[in-house]
Parts: sequence; structure tokens; C-alpha cells
Amino acid sequence: MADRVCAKFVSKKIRKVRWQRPGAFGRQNPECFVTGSWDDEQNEVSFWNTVQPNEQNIDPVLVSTIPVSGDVNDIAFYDTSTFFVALGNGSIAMMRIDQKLTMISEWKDIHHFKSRKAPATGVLCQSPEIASIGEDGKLNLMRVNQEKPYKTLDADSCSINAAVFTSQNEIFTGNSRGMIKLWDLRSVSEKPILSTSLSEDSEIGVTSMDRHPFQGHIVAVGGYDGMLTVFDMRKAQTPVTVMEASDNCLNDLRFHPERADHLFTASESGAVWHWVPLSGKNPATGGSSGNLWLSGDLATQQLNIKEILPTLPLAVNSVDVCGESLICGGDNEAFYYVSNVVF
Amino acid sequence: MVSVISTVDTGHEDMIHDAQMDYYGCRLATCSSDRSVRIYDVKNGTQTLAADLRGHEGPVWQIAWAHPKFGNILASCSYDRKVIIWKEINGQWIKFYEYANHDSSVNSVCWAPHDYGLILACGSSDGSISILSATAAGGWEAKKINNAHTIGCNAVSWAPAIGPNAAFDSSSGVRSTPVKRFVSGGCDNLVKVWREDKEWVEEAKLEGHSDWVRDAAWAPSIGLSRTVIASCSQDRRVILWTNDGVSSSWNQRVLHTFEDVVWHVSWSVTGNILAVSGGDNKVSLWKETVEGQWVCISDVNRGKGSAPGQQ
Amino acid sequence: MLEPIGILDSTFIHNKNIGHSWGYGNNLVVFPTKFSQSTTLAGVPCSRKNLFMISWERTLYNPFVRKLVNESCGAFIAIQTRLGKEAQVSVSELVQSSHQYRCIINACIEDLNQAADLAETNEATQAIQEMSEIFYKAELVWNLCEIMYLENPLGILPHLLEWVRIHFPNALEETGTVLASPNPEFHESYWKALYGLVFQLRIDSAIKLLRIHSGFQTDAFQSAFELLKKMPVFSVNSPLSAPEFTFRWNHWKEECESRIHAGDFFDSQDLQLLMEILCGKEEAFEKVADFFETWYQRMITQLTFTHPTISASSLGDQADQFLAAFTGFDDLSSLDATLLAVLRRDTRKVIGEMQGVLDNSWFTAHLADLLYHAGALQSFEDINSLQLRETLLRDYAICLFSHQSLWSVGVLYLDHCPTVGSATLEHLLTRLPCQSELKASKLIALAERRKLTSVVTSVCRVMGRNALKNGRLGAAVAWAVRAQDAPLATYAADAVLERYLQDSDFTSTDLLDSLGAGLLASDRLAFLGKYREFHRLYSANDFHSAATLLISLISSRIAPKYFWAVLLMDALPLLETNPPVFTSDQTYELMQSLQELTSSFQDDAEPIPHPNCQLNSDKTMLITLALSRNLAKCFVQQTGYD
Repeated sequence: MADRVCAKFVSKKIRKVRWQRPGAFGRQNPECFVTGSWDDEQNEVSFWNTVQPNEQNIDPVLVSTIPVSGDVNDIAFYDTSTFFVALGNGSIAMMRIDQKLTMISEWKDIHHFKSRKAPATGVLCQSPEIASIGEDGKLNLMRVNQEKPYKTLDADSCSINAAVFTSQNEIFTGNSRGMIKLWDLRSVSEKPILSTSLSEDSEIGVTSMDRHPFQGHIVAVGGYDGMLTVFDMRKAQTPVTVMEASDNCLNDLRFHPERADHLFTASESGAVWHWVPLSGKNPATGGSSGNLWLSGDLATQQLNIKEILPTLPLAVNSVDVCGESLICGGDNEAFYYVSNVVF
Repeated sequence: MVSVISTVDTGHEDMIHDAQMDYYGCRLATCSSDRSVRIYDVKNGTQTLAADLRGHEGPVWQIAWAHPKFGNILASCSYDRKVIIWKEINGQWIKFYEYANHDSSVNSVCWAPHDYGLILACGSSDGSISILSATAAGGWEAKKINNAHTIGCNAVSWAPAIGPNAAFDSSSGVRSTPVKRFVSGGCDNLVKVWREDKEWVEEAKLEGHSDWVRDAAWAPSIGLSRTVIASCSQDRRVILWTNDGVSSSWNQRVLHTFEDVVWHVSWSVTGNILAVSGGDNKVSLWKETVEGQWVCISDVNRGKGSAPGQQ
Repeated sequence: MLEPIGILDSTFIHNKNIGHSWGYGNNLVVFPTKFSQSTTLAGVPCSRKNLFMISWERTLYNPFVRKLVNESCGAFIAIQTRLGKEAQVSVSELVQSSHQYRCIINACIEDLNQAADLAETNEATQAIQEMSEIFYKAELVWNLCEIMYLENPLGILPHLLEWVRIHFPNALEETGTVLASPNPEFHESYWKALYGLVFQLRIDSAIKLLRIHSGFQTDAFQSAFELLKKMPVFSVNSPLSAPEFTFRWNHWKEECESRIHAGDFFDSQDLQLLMEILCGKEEAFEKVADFFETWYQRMITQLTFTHPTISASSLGDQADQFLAAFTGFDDLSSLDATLLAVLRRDTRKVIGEMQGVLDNSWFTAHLADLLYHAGALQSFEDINSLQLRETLLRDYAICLFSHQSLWSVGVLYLDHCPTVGSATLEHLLTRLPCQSELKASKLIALAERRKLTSVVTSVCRVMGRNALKNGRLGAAVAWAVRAQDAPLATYAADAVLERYLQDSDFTSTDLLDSLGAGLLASDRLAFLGKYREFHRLYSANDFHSAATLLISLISSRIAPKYFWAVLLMDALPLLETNPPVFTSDQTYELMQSLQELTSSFQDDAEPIPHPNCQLNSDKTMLITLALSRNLAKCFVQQTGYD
């Protein structure tokens, strides 16, 4: 277990936490992060700092907060200071960190049903592309400085719960019934280039996704049943590796941005896990030949699970890691900051 | 600390007689002497008028929401001797069914627990109680208890579906079929418990009030075998009637004698708090403590005591 | 006694009748009304017809208090988890938990006090201060309970004295003020401060204060100083046994009394009084009665100087005597009554008192749980201690369920209500509005874990109905399948068919084609699936299979009648093929259906969702013709074979 854990009760359920990646190259730890709340009369996006001038790590301090209407369902950084927020009221907001937090612009109601707004469930960035997904099954494509989405795909009959860019022009989506689709953004057709299912029992919905930081064709998908499934886009019809990551919904999962053999998961049952490769063979670059995540059934034997925190009484909705710093938060209206994750 | 969290200007042109929140607390329906029924969407302390239902030809006394699994359905009853069941279809409220088989003002309407289907009980000043049931064919069927209360019936309230003796069948985990019951109160100073036994029969006659019974409310009894009914009367008293779920006898206990007529009693959804209001310009909340005492928790003077060390 | 609940509005002045109804949770709708149901109905015309939404127990919803709710939930669950692993939790562990709870309360009080200072309006400040006061009292009572029930030490007074020291810091504050003045010994509160220190047995501080007096070198002061220094103290960690201490104490007291008699303090009335206090003289305490803020403070001090080794079990009687002598039992505030009950160890009364006051469900639930595990919660004739604890936990949980976000915490408390928890949870969960699939999936997950299948079905149904309302037919089908709700599935399938009739194209094909066994949720849905398959077979040019499927859809009557006309029109191109794909038997089957359809449409006034379902004479003619031609082809073929 990590040495230094700081718990902070914030009086709002946390839905998403994301580090602001340090701008410069090098291995320094991040200093600031953003949180978003859900399931409250008034929700908010908040910006926190863990480092004060002249001081080392301290307990995170609230720098600024922007109230938003609707749940904050997702937060994605576009560059080091700009990020997008997917909201329960069907809008995607663009915010910027500039000492304080400022709302730059908003794509209003780009997710909607027949006569009412539909929650936007996710937003993803691959500069210059920005994409959003929602309960209305739509996949919107936007660019900064454009007032409206330049393209909208009617991508799914059900809610799309998670999506990632697997390359500059391809997006991988997962829906609430476990249908997985791959979209070519250049294609004129409204059909996906690939469509498969998370598991044979297609009832198990997708809850979260993350892409391998160096090998874009490797995507990890979390499910309602707590299973972690790894897909290789080069042969995506069937999953390569399936592992049990929780006995309840896998709410968030993140590859370590530099040490890609390390994975972090947060679950509905209140656990935050660090998946540690057993052998020290794979160097931090992770770019070498035999990838751990594609080793099928062997992967389970090559990984050790470490609990970052003792299991919390309520769901942990989100986790993010950068350098040696980890942040996670959930339905017990608190977030936890770990400043020295041991690798 | 009790506080007003919002004020709704209903726009009614005359006295309001009833206001009911729907199952989720997202919609509010009101009815008035101005003969209309109004529906508002309530969200984060603001209200927007969603519908204004016209159809009654007299003051509308009471309204009741059906369980949402049947869609958005509202029943209303009026001085015009009619009961109207309203339904929202594609965003429009329509008159779904009109029942006009009472000879006098209809004072009270109450939907049965949803487990039984769509069933409405109506109490009227003509002394009878009607039980309307939706049929599979989409029509309505009416049963009538004549002379339920001489001079008039003022209130009807259903027993919860998971009543005494009918909780979980622990061996199979399936619920046994509960017996349908409801309570009524009337101008004969009586509170009566009715049970369906093919026909509706009077199961118990509760004597205790010395003047017209104005309201009766059957408490939700979640997971408990004990059953409680609250009744209030022009005799200024609220009486709690309890049955242990085993015997057929009912114990009575006077909750409190108020300064004026008590018009209305109702239980919170979980049955742990009783709200009482009437002609004394007061609303009070009552709760049974672990000591078995019913205390008024809205009494602002309680709980004030010298707190040391603080100014 | 019964106050109208704080509504200040002119409408209530003119109308004494109040109506009410329940909202969700701790909410009541209140309105002025008129109940008279006589024939004269002309109400007093009134310009505004207002309703008021009132609410209570909102203290828990304050952002600072929410921290307490969530943090204490962690402590609560920790105790229950420990109990799950071991049969019993040791008292020292419970004391630790008790300390943890009190730490959480104190942190909350601190937050609230800070917030009160920063509040912008006086009302806001006052409201926050009131909240802070609630928790202050809670902590005061809690701490006393901890001493009386959990620690239950042999020598109780040192603990009580510690409790007084913590909660009445004014003795130290006053001393500070006196010391800060330019000439302390002439400060009007010099002696009061000194007595205050002695009351709390802060002897060292009292001596320091005594030293700065200009008369310190006089005999009287020196004598008092000596006695104070020699005073035996029965402390929490005293190495002395009780008899040993009593021996020394009596000895010291005799010395004090003899010095008083000897006139040692004759020169200074103030010193004389001090010494009389030390000797526990009733008259002396009468003189300084005003220096005590509360009866229990005085009681503890007086006992310290009269019965320093009093046992916990005698405290109740002592408290009764004190109250009877000084304040009486009438007009006893709820707090006083609670503290008295704690001293008497009348647990039920303690909880009953706190329960009768709003905004205390947090307190009663957590305290009762702790006392229950410590075996200090008595059972009574009509209710056993387990039920008692359960009732209180449930009340707290219900209160949390009234809040948009805190309901999640409420779930965890209901988990520890063995008899009514599950039923209550079921009841409350189905009433939670769910505006998003995220919330729905959370509700489903937690209901599934607790085997509350009715909640799962109910949530799925509501989501399905919403999807339908939103025009999301595929999602509606998916929810209906999940809920195994046949009527909803049928309704959604009909809607898909209707849209097909309009657009000549299927919606939600990605979903429909992946439903598999889910199609069996309703006959209509099964038909829809089969009909999709027919289209697939047809477009794959597998005309034989397509034809056989079409016939089976009609003959098995799985196809809704309104759709038969469409199926017959679908058969048209297949009837035109040569060699024929329909056998003669199959053709007869189609003819029969056509006939049934044409005859039934006259008497059956079933609504038709789309003109394509109408079988007009042109279509009938067309189909009849095609059927007979196909029959002819079949005969030719058959004779050919023969």
C-alpha cells in the first residue's frame, strides 16, 4: 500500500478525476487535477492544486470551481491547459486552466432525444479532432473554433457509454449492451467498419475504455460485470485477453501514460486496483515485442494486483494516474490523492 | 429546523383543496374550487405549469396519482358527483374515464397498491363507496358498497399490499397473495375497515370518535407485521388504531387532542412520520420514539436547551 | 406547544385551515384551504393561491455536514466489517471508534464555525450557528455517554472532570483575560478566575495565578499555597488505590479545616472562601453558585470536593438530588433531561429524548449502534435492543434518502437493518427518479447485489418507458428485454414495425439483430425478429427459405393481424417466380389467410397503424391473381414430375 494517502471530503459525488499533464518533457509529477461531480442539484467542475509555492506536496487545495447544470460524465484534456467536459444536459463544454478555471465555450444540446436533451456520456480528443458520445447513440465530431459538430453519426440504437481514438481517423465505441464498434471517420458510409460484442452474452454493457499509450491498436474495455477485456484492433473481432477486475461494474480504467504495463482500475464495489507486471523485463517504454496485454490467458499470471486503498464503502467512479501521483474519487463524496505510487 | 424551501403560485382562481406529488416527487397536481386540476413539473425548487385540466362542473376536492408503471394517470373527484380519471398520452392530458354513478359529492379518491392493478376507491357524501377497476379489455368495472357510512363517507385509504400475515414467504421468496383492504371514515363518527372476499365486506368497525371522521390514513408497514391506521375528526382528536397482525382486534390510542377540528392526517412514504393539519392554523409532524411515545417533532421549542460554552 | 411550522405568509393569517400532503422524503406541501363541504362554496376571494414546500432535517444536507455524513459512514462500516470478521469487538476498539466519531463531530463544528464567520448575512450566520450548536450538544452528550457506558471506569469523577474541562474552556479564557490586564490582582474577575480553575482542579494554574498576587508572601496566602500544593489528586492515571487516596484525602481535608478554624485566612475573605470550597462546604458553593453555568458542572465540582471516589452507579441518585435542590425537574430542557438520563444510565430515555428533537437522527443512529455493540443498549419488554438499533438506523437512512445525492449512504445503513432494511430499501429505491442510464445502472447494480429483483425490473421498466417516450425504440426494446416486460416489448416492437411501414426501412437493426434469445420477451418481438430474418433471406436470394418463413409467420399466427396485408404483399414477388417457391399447400395457406383477412376487416374495427396495412380491392385483386397464377405453376410443375 502506498505511504501517503490524503482523503478529502468535498460534499459532492465525484464522477471524474483527471490530471493536468505537466507541459514539459521529463519525469516530473503533475501538480494539478480537475474533478467533476454528479447526482446533485448543482454539479460542478473543480480545479485543484497539490503544490504550493515554496512547498512540496501538500493536501490538495481548491483553486476554482465552475458550476454546471447536469452530471459531469466525462473530462478529457485536449492539450495541457484546455479540456472538454461531457455533461448530463447534452452539452460539451470547453474549459481552460489559466491560474483559474474559465469556461471558454459550449456545444449546446448536441446530444438529444426526440423532444428532450440526452446525456452526453463521453468526450475524447485526438488533436485536432474532438468527438462526443451520448445516450442518444450519436457520435459527434467537432473541431475547436467551429460552432457546430461537422459530422454526426447515428452510431447506436442504445446508449454509447465509452469510446477511444485508436488512430487519427478511427474511433472505437462500446454501448450499454456490450456492442463494440469501430468507426472510420473518413468513411462516407454510416456503417461501422467492424461490429462485435464484448462477450458472448451480449447483455453485459461497456462502462469504460482506455487505449494503450504507445500502441493505439490495444484497447482495454471495462464491463458492467467487472471484467477487463483487451482488444487488438488488428484482429478485433474477438477479444484477446479477459481478466476479472472486480465483482461489480468497472467504472474507470487507465493505463499508466509512461509505464504502459501498469494499469489502474476503479470499481463500483469501492476498490481501486493497481495491476503490476510481475517480471521486471518489460521496460517502461512498453514498445517491445511481446506485449503483456496481448498475452491472453497468460496475462493473469503475469500480473499482480495491489490495492491502492482499503475498499471504500461506496463506488469509486474514476481514477487517474500520472508520474507517481494518483487521484481517485467516487460516491462517498470524497477524493483520495496518493502522491507516491510504488511501481 | 423546519423551513420553507419554495413557494408555488398555483394560478388557481379559488381555494385549493388538495395538492399531491407524484411517485417520484417530480410532479405536483393541485385541485381547486375553481373546478380545475393543474399539473406542474417541479425541479430544483422551480415549478412550471404542465397542464390545466378542465372537466369538472364543481369544486374539485381531491386528487390521486396512480403508480407510474401504468403511465401518467391522475384521478380527481368533485362536488359535481363525478370521478374523472385523466391520462397523459403523447404529452397531452385526456379524460381517460368518467364515473358518474354517485348521487352526491365525491369527497375522496385513493388508488390501491399497484400490485393489484389499476383500482380506485371513491368515497361519497351519498354514503357509498365505489371501487373502480381497470379491466384487461381496457374498460372499467365498478363495484359499489352502499350505505358504507350513513350521511356520508369522507375518506378512503388503502392498506399496503404487503400487509400483516402476508410478508415474504421465506421458503420460496415469493410473496403470497395479499388480501385487499382499505379503511374509510364518515359522518357516522365511524372508521371502518373493508376486506375483499369476492364482494367487499365490513371487517371492522372502529368506534372512538365523537364527531364526524374527516380523514383516515392507513400507514405503510414496510417489513413489519403491525398495522396502524390514523384517523382524525371534528372532535379535534387524532386516533391511532393498531392491529398486531395476528388477532382481529384493534387497539385505539389518542395521539393528541388539538385546539380545533383536525381535517387531515397522512403518513410519510415509509410510514415513520405522521403529518396532521386542521383548523388550528398548524401542521405538525409526529413520530413514535423508542420509548413508545408519540412526540411532535415539529415542535420548535423542543431541543432548545442551555448549551454550555457557546454564546 | 404545537407550533405552526414556520410559515410566514399573509394567506395563512386570513385562513386558519391548513391542508398538506407529502412530497418525496422530508418534504411536505402545505397550503391554506377550506374544508367545508357544504353547498355554499364561495371562498373568500384571495389574490394569490400559493402552496408552500416545506422541509426539515436539512442540517445533514449542509455542505459541511455532508462531510460528517460521509466520513462517519466510513467509521460505521468499519465497525460492522470488524464485527463481520470477529464475533465481538473489544471495548477498547469501540472506545476508539467513539473517539473517531467525536473527532468527526468536532471537525464539523470547526468547519461550521468558520463558515458562520464568513457568512454574508446575519440570518445565514445564525442558521449555521444553530447547526453548530446541534453538533456541539451532540458531542457533549456523546462524550458523557462514552464515559458512562464505554469507559465505565472505577473512579468516574476524574473522567467527568475532564469532560467539564473540555466543554467549559471559559475558566482558562477568563484567567487569560485577567492575566492580560495591566494589574491582574485588581481585575474584577481575579477571584472568579481563580475559583474557576480550582473548580476544574487546575491546581497548577491556580497556584500560578495566586503567585502574582501582591499579598502572596503573607501568611494567609502561604498557608493556602501550601495546602493547594499538598492536595491529593485522584486522576485518571492515578497510581493510588481508592482506599489509599481516601486516607490521604481525609488527612489533607482535616488539615484544611483545622487551619480555617485556626483563623489562618481571617484576613482575606476571598481566601477563606477558597478554602471552604476546597473543604466541600455547601454554604461556600451557595456563594459561588453564579459562577457555574450549568447544574452538572456544579455537581461534578462539588462531588470532587465531597465524594472524590464516588462510583458511576451512584451518580444518578446524586444528579437527582442536585436537580431537585437547585433547578427542579419542571422546565427541564431536552439537553438537561438527556444528560440526566445518561447519568442515570437510562439509555432508552437518552435516545428517546434525542429522537424527539429534529435533526438528530445522525446522532441517535450512530450512538445506538455503538452502545448496542458495547452491550449497553438494554432490551425492553416491548422492543429488544436489536430492534431498537434497527429503528434508529432506518430513520437515519430514510432521512438520507430525502437528499438528491446522500441516498447512496442511506443504502449502506439499511444493509445493517436485518429485519426491515431490505423491504425499506426496495420501497425507497423504486422511488428514486433516474434521469440517466448511469444512475439506472447504479441502481440496478446495487439492487442486484441485494437480490431486490423487483427494483431491477421496476427500474428497467421505467427506463424502457422513457426510451419509448424519447423515440429510442431500440433502447426501449433492450430495456423491455432486460425487464422481461412483455407488454412493453410488444409496444416497442409495434412501434418499430410502424416505423418500418413509414420508412420502408428498419430502425435499430444493430440491436434487433443481436438480441438472440432476448427476442422471446414477447411474441410481437419474436415476430419482429423473424420478419427481419425474412428480409435477410430474401435479400440473400434464398427465396425458398424466405417463403417457408413467411408462411410459418402467418400460419402460426405469431404475426399480428394488422400486419398480414403487408406479409401478403411481401409474398407477391415470391409468387411471381418461376419455378414457384411456394408449394401448392403453402399457396392454399396464403389464400385462406387472404380470405380471413378480407372477411374480418369488415366486422373488426381494429385500428390500422399505416395505410399499407389496409387491404383495398386493388391489392386483394393483385394478390388473388398472383396466388392463382402460382397455383397453376405448381400444378404444372407437379404434373411435370408425375
